[in-house]
Amino acid sequence: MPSGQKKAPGKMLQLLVELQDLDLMIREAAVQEEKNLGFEIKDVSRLQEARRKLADALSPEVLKRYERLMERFDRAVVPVHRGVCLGCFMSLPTAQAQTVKRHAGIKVCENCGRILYWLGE
Amino acid sequence: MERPMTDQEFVDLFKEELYISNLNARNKQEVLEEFADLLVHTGKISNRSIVLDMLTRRERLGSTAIGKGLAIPHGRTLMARDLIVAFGRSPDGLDYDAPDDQPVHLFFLIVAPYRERQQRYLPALGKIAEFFQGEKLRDKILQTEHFEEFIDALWSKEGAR
Repeated sequence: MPSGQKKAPGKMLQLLVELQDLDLMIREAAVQEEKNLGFEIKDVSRLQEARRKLADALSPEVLKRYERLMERFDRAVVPVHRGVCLGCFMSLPTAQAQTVKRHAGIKVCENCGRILYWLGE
Repeated sequence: MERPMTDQEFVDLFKEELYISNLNARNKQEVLEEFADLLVHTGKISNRSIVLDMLTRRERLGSTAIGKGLAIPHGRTLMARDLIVAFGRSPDGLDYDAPDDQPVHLFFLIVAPYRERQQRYLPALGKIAEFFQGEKLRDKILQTEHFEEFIDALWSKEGAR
């Protein structure tokens, strides 16, 4: 059984954010904008091991949802600010916004389906 | 498409609450930890470990030291609500895997959201490298001990306006 299935919901959400940060770092490294600014960019494969570990720590269902959202929207996890999903800019129902605020697990936007992360006001 | 950053826009990025006159860090990891702590204490981010992991992974991709005593640890994260720029000074210098093998004295931290309305992330990275080409300014910044002196020193750069 993958270890991700035993993770607390809040921890799972943190792993998802870390995975997305890493996926976007890998993607940016490939387009070499930073290299053009003079930064040393070594082999991106150095980050693949970290990515594999993060992905393994998630349950297969959550990972599948994440990857499907990344394909569809480019970002799977989006911030919530002042009760608004910053993926589709729709207001969340008050009760749902409160749940997201508590980081009480993986909650998705009822409008766009993206995973929500409350960043504070 | 990003446009070049003006000197005024560049200087405006720095805030006193994100200025560290003397870093306590003794190595690369401690530099990142000290900056992550600062971002949490000033309320810029809410989750230290996500940001610290992102910065550490970015260093694994290649040191963010650029030589001449400068390093620009940086990266994008969901945790950032807006572009965050912090400065830290290490008078004694630290080993930071610099391309010229010289110790790093001046650290510029840049943390950005994935999408930033004003698109200042890459221009800010480029501007730091450009701004500190001259040894005179680097030496001057290294001597500053207070935020006001730091800002004055930035404006003293030849041609700054």
